Amino acid sequence: MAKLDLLSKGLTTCQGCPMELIGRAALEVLGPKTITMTPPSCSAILTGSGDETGWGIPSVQTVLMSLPAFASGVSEALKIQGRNDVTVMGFAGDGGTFDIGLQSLSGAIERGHKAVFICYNNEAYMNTGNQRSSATTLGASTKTTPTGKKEVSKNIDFMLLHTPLTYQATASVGNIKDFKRKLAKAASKDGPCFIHVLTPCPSGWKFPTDQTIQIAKLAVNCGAWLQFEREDGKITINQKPADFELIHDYLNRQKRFSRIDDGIRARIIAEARSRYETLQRLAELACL
Amino acid sequence: MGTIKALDGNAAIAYGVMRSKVQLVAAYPITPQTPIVETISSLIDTKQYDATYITVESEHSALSAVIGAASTGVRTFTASASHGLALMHEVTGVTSASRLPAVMAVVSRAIPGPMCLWCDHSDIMTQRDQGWIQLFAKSPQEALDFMMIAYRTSEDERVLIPTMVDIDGFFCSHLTEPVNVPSVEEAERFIQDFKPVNARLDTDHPYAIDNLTSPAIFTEIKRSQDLGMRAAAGVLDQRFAEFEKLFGRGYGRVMCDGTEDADTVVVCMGSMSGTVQHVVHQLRSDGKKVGIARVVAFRPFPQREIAEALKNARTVAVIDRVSGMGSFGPLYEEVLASMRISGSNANAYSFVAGLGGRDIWEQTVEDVFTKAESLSAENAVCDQPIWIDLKESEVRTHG
Amino acid sequence: MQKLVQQRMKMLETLPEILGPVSVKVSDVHTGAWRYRRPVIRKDDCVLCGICAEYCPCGVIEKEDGRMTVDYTYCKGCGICTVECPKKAIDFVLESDCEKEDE
Repeated sequence: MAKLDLLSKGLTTCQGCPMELIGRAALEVLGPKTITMTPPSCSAILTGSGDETGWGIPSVQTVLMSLPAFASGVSEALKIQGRNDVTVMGFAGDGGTFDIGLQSLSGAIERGHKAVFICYNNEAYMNTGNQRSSATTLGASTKTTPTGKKEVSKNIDFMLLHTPLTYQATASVGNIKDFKRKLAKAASKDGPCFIHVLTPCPSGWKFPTDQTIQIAKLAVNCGAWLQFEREDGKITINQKPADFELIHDYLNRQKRFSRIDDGIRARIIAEARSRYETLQRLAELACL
Repeated sequence: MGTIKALDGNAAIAYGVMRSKVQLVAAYPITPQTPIVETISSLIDTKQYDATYITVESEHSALSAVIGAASTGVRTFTASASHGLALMHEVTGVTSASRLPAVMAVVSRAIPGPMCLWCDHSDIMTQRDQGWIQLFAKSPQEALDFMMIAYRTSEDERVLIPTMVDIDGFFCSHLTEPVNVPSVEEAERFIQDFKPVNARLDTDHPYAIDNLTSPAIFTEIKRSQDLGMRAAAGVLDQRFAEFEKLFGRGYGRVMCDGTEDADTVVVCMGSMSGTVQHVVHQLRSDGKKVGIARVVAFRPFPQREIAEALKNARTVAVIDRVSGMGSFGPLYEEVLASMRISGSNANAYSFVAGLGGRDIWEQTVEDVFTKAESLSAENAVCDQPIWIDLKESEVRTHG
Repeated sequence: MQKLVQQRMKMLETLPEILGPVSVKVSDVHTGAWRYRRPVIRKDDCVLCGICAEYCPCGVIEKEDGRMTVDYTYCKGCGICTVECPKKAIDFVLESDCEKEDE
């Protein structure tokens, strides 16, 4: 049988865009019985403009602040109509998840609607041209932090550990099989699920377009990005960081960190270590 | 027919929601609308009403959830006031442009600042250009009836425009009156189960909605919305007539009393209409030729009907329950523009009254008539509204 | 023509008129024009593992008739496949060195 195409090939995302890859991989898992929402963001390029759309599934461009609330309405309406076979997929960036959309997300999670919220994290407001978000790593230069961000990123994964998510996971575009496995698990749950995917952005992070996957893999190896999942009150660490000193290499390969000094480097490494140590301790508990 | 119950405006709205067979409600509490939220959610929670209630964490999310559900093809409701309506502002425009027939109750309360719990129309007036039909009820009975009429109008395929049913905070929302509540069977003769006719999130017909829209088509989408809104005028007239036939209570987009032979007519909206009408009756019994033209549908604005109602008047006084800061009140501006249709040369004056919950007494209305008539006798021209019942000594300015 | 475009054209035949901002057509930009280097798979070195297709953001690499093929109409030339190929069986060739008839 011919494979269904659910996302157009002719989309105007940047060369080497990991967000598009995540969208494509998501639909391979979820199939045509999926309704998706994107806020105004890079993912809105998939939803399209004018009379054209990239998705082969029903989609909406919601307002930036309340995608999860919109998804709540869709999810409950499907329930009213007895449609248990449709997956509701929120597809937002870090701005729409960490910042302006956080309140709405927390509400939707707490109320327990059946929906999968994917956050593709490119660590800045990339669709408006690379302004810092609360997900931007310490030291990274963006258009609003030209000399480098002064604050560490918001740890949304730890924040959400204390919400009644049915399933929570982090993933990396560097490991598509792992992402797909996690998404399939999320789609099988009867409640709110959150998958936070690292999507290194060649345009904003300033590395060659062919390096997207390599940077994402390195982020996991060096411990700048932690791979874990939470299910039934238990955290499972999927991949242990190989060596935190690899963070130097990770930073050196992105021009957005070209201005940072040794002090900032040390703080970035210390932050990564401490997050991993905290995660290890949390993984020993069975009460989340 | 129906059962007489003692209901306040908020409870009447809740009955209106139930009788309209709404399937999904998402709303957030805010004074003076909170009892609507409490009543509907309790009825659903205790299984007296078969619907879904989403206990959202903000008004912005309330309307977002509502349009999510409406896009998926169910009948929806939300309610808000003041700050809450302001927070919804971004989403009210999306709702109407998406042609989703949602209905919202607005329990009017002054918009801040200063912080205020009490009624005026500064909240709903921020929404006047957001593309919603706006119906102003003056009593709990009208609140219930207008809810059912709102759904039948909004969902009509010639219209597909959402509706706000406005009641005045406290004056109507917390006023208990005998209300004739139609039975479920009676209501079903007027409003049946929801059948979505427009844009839907349907996996059998995958397409995108609410995308970035270019200058090449934006104007045409807005005009199509405008035509839907204009079509609502005729549809509202049909629904009012149909409703009257079934339930015996007649309404119109403009409701007049005494205007046929009146020299002086007051134009107003909302709960003050009852007081104005009472004063009109009193003055007429004293032999004065006065009348009231009450605007029920502020959007679509009934230009021709207002022009017709005012064509014989020599003096027109428009009371806005909002300040029209730096200009005139919005109702006054609409009325003035409408009077051009009939070529009326009447002297028209703008009055600002009842802000932030200040009562509009019989005396207030009498003062409006007196003031308007004395200005008109001199053919006076006013370049700003007359703030009635103003405590001049309390108005502070620098220089 | 992409399969998605074909599917949508079929759906359009039965779709009633919709009011409001809706996007029914498929975004179908021929983004291949952006490319200044193209991935060329050396058939003899390719082991058909499919990793290139798995990591292609644009979904333009497919297994067809026992070989991996690239749809150059859409391939933007990011080069991810050339880096991810475990056999290093994909060359990244300057467009100016390629024959134009491939387009």
